[in-house]
Amino acid sequence: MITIAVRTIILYAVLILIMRVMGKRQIGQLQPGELVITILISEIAAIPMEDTDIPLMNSVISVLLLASFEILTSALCMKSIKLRSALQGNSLVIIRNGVLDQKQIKRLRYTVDDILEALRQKNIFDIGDVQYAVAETDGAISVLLKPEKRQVTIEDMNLPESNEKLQCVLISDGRIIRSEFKDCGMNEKKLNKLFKDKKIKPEEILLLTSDSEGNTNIIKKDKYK
Amino acid sequence: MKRIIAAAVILVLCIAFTVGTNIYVNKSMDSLLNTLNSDGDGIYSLWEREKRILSVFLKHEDIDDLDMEIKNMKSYGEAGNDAEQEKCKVKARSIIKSIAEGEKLTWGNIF
Repeated sequence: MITIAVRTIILYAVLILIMRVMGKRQIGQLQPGELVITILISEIAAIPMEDTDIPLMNSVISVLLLASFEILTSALCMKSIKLRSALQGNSLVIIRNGVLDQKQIKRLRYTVDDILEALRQKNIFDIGDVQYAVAETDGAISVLLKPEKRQVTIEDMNLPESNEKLQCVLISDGRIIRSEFKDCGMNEKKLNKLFKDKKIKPEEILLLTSDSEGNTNIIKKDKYK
Repeated sequence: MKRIIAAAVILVLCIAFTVGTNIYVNKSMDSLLNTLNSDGDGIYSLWEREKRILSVFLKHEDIDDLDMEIKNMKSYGEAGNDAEQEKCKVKARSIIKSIAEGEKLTWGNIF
């Protein structure tokens, strides 16, 4: 049993390293090839965890090879449009001005129900409201509504723009995150002044966020409230 | 860029490792076979040295089978039972050949 535990720890470390190197996106954003590789890696890693008869190196080598192929292939895809097209496919316009492109739908093997479901998930209940809909390479459908159906923006109403500032997390669970200081113009002196003014210590703070204008938001830990 | 370099290095290392392993296993099997055929007692010490490293690359079932045959060979040899010892030798030879064959890059092994 202890052998299984040690193997699991080793494989876990290898998988974490691989995932870190591969720089995985969320499952929903993976290309088909990337999804296959991710599932394959997890399956291969599981085999020697269960069966101590199989050498650990078999899985480790397989996982490392798959990961390196995936990274190198994606690097080559960045350089070559043809290769990208061959491996990942192309985005296809499936709706133009409320009209379904039946040729493309057939090519993608989508049914009308699939498309209507995807539109409803984007709160679009009338296909006539759609100016363009694009089937992306990861299977998602991106939609551009007709101008008259789109949400009104500040620009449409000629209102002055509000200057949105980036909120930086300066303290998380009592720990100061100094790497965020630069993004919101913070420094140790300002932070210490803030603690003094608010009569608070870093350990008492669950979350402290700030923007570049110095507007802060502090959430104290329950036990210090 | 760092990731690409890391991936290329990992790929090269993996290939080097697999080729190196293949060469090592083949050499080991040849050495075991030659020792088995020529010097009967030397096989025990050679196997004790080799099995630790070989268990990293080979199926443990094969290692265990060969280990058992070699241990039986030793026991029968010490008991003076030459006939049984010879049987174990034949089995050990067969296992070694099968391991060596399993590590070769052949169509049968790939598919």
